[in-house]
Amino acid sequence: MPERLILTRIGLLAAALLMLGCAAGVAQTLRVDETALRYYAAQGQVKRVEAEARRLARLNPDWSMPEDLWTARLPMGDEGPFWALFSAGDIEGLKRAIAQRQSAEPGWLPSDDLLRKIKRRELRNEILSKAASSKWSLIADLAAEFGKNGPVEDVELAWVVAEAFARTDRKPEAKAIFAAILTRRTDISERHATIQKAIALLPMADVEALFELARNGNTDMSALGIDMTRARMAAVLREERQAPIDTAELAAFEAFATAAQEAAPAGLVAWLALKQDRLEVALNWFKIAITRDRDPMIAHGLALTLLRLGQTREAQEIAFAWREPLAANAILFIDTFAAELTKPSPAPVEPDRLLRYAKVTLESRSAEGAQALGWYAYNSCEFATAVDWFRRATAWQPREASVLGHALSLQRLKRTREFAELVNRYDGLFPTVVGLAFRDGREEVRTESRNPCDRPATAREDGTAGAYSQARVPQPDLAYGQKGAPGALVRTAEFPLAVAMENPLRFPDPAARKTGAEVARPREPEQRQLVARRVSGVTAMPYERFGFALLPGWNGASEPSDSSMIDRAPAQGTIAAQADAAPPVGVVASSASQSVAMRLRR
Amino acid sequence: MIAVCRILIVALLMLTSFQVGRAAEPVRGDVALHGMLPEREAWRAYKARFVTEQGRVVDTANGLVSHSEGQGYGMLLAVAAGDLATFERIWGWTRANLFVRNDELAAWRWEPDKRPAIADVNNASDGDLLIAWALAEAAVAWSDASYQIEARRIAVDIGRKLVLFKTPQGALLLPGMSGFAAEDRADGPTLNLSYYVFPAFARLPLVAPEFDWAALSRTGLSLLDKARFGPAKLPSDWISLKSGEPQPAAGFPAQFSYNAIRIPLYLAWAGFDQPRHHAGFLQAWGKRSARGFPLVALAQGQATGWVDERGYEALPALSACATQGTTFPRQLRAPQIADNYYPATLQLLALIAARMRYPSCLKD
Repeated sequence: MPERLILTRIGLLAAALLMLGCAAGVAQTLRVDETALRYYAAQGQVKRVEAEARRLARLNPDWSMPEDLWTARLPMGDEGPFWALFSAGDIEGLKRAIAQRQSAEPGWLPSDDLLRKIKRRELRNEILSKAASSKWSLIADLAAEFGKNGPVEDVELAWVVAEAFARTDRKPEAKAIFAAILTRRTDISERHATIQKAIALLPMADVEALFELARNGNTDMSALGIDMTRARMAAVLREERQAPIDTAELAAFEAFATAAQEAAPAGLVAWLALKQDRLEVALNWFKIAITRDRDPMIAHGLALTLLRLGQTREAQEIAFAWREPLAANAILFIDTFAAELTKPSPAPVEPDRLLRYAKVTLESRSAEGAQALGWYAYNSCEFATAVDWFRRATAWQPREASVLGHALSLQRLKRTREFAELVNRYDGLFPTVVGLAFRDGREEVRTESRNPCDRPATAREDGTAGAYSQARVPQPDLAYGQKGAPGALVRTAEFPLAVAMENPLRFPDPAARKTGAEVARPREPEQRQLVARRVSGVTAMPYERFGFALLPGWNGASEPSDSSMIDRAPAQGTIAAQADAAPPVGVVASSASQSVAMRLRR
Repeated sequence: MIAVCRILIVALLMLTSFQVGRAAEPVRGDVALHGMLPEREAWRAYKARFVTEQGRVVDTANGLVSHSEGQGYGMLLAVAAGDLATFERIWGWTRANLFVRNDELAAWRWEPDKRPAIADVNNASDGDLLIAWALAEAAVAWSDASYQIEARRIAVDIGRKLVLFKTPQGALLLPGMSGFAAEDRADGPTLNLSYYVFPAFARLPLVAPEFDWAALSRTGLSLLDKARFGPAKLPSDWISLKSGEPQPAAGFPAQFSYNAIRIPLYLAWAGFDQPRHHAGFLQAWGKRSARGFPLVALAQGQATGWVDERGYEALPALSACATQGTTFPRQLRAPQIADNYYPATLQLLALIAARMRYPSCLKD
């Protein structure tokens, strides 16, 4: 994957630079040499202090007069041994030595200069150790000590501080540090590494600005050409960059990707082409990439491309083969096949493909797969099989569509007790399911007479001919909500019944796994209601127009919801709302936005 | 013929476009949850008191109802205890009873003795986050692809439908699908900072790497810095961002209460342990009386109620451990027999957080 490559490169460079930086760092932390300034100040020579300050300011534009200039203590005697320890980086040893000297010589104090530098070195060490455990927020707080542009003289430290800012929502400060490095440091490797750090951490617009800054410094940045193109391509994919990538630049990257051994550059070319709907180009590059690295993410891109090219079966084969290492592939396989099985008029599916799909559904305990197989069986007049699948769908995700299919299948099989239990369990929640218990002709699901399941003989046999006949026309007064005689309308044998409201279905049966001994249960109340209460976000129940009332909801609500909150559109500003507003071109299954579209052909 | 079709190809396309290019954020202290609750007696007592044989986690102080949050907590505890059978029981109940929506989110509230048992089809984003996170951890712990698939489906719906990633304030997590967005409420968007489950944001890249979960952590921290109301300088349970700056939300009591007390738990659990993150909470908890810890009315900074069950003590104990290295008291590692579901749960979660992030606090 491209990010791996980027990281590796940065890692290598950074490691090399670390070694350089550490050697330099010891000298660099001494910063501006204020020895003379402090000497004159200690002597009280004001004019000489002013002259020296002007000289230092000229040489170091960011330098300012130390606040403690007139109050600082000078060394009390020779501090040479202490500075030796400091230079050796042995801060613990140095602190021990100071403590020893103080106990041997009460009243002795190290110079302010030494104390300041010890403190600074300790801060440096703390920051670097916190970086190792990714404590970015803490580092960002600690780094306040360094002032606006951070510890630029110590590049290694500056990079870490910039990274901490970038990772804690303080990107402008991170950018300022990188800019300061590029302004003040001339080492070419440092400059390159700074841009690469910025690529990994900052928005592309900031990276472009820094890249310009680096080039204006007369540095040859051509070695970063590929890295910059890669970053620009990724920015397009992240929708951070609107402008197209220069054709010649893209061609150069494609040449690089062709010559490369790794899959990542080819994969990036492919993802960009897919994003821009150049599907044949994407297909070609995904195929190149997958031969180089058996990466499940590349396989996912390949499957998506095939899907958008209309090669659904090929897409499913790829997704099936790569389902184990990447859940997105399993989901793509399950959902595209489900779409196929639940089309209004599904084409016959070969038995071996169907069997394979059934196995994946069972292995992954997929509610999507189970409901699709349920509908496919139902539409094939195999109602007992349909019930078996819908029982699983109801166990794994009892959505209205699955429960409806479940109830319909039970009804077909005249498994009355199970049907009644199911319909009553979802009273108050799923209007279409409850509608199955009524005879007024509006809520019933009537199948077309050409459906082979509904040949007249069959219909007479299971006694549903009257209820499902096309000829039955709803009576106008009932359709418009006049109160009828409830007893005549309700299948009283099935509804309402008092049933347990907890869904007991589990697949596989947990009894097989039960540990036994540790299972205990708190007191469970057990009262069974006959009258449903209002559920927040649910529309009216079908029987309400006959005058039946519901009990108030848990929050006191007495009125039904105008529209179902189960199908509530996502809020403005979410990714889903944006995708619904502008669906990507060529997406096969844009029905995602319709969520459970129950397309009941009546 | 009847056809039902729902599919998520659009989501998958989004995924791939984000996935490429940006160096993945290093997951902060990438610690797995599995095995982090070895206290067998504490877990056994918890199950015996709060988990039904069917796998329902019961809120014993609240009419024996259940909610998606409690199911998520139960699943996390089961993974931490290494108890696959119980995990299956709780997850099995959760999907069979709460996943009645047409998306991959759970209805948030379930009440026994009611017809139907679902009280509200709206979701609660923290419940969904907890369930998705628990499934992601279970997939790691027991190498079960079905957990990974379900974790991904839930996480993708959270990322796509409940987060406003590009607002001036950062990434906003809506508390539910209905009722909290700017178009839904006069003072919307309305947020609940205790729904920012920080440790989940560090782990959801395992199953849905295309979303910028770290942005939620950053925004959560930055909102917490600003949402310090009244003399006590504490966040209210519900905040409004209508003005751009956090305010206590209209229509909710302006209180630091049962929701917000979880915030420091999630902070510490994710390794956010700087003193400034915890100081306000520790200060409030320092004002304990014989009646327990205060819940605070923010306008006056006065106690409006008290929580006195022992399990709550694990919250300041964890904050003290995280910020000062204070030992996590021994008695808080054993079950508190009299506690209800909520304090008992928070106690075990705090114990797990301490073990995962600050194991030295558990050495005597």
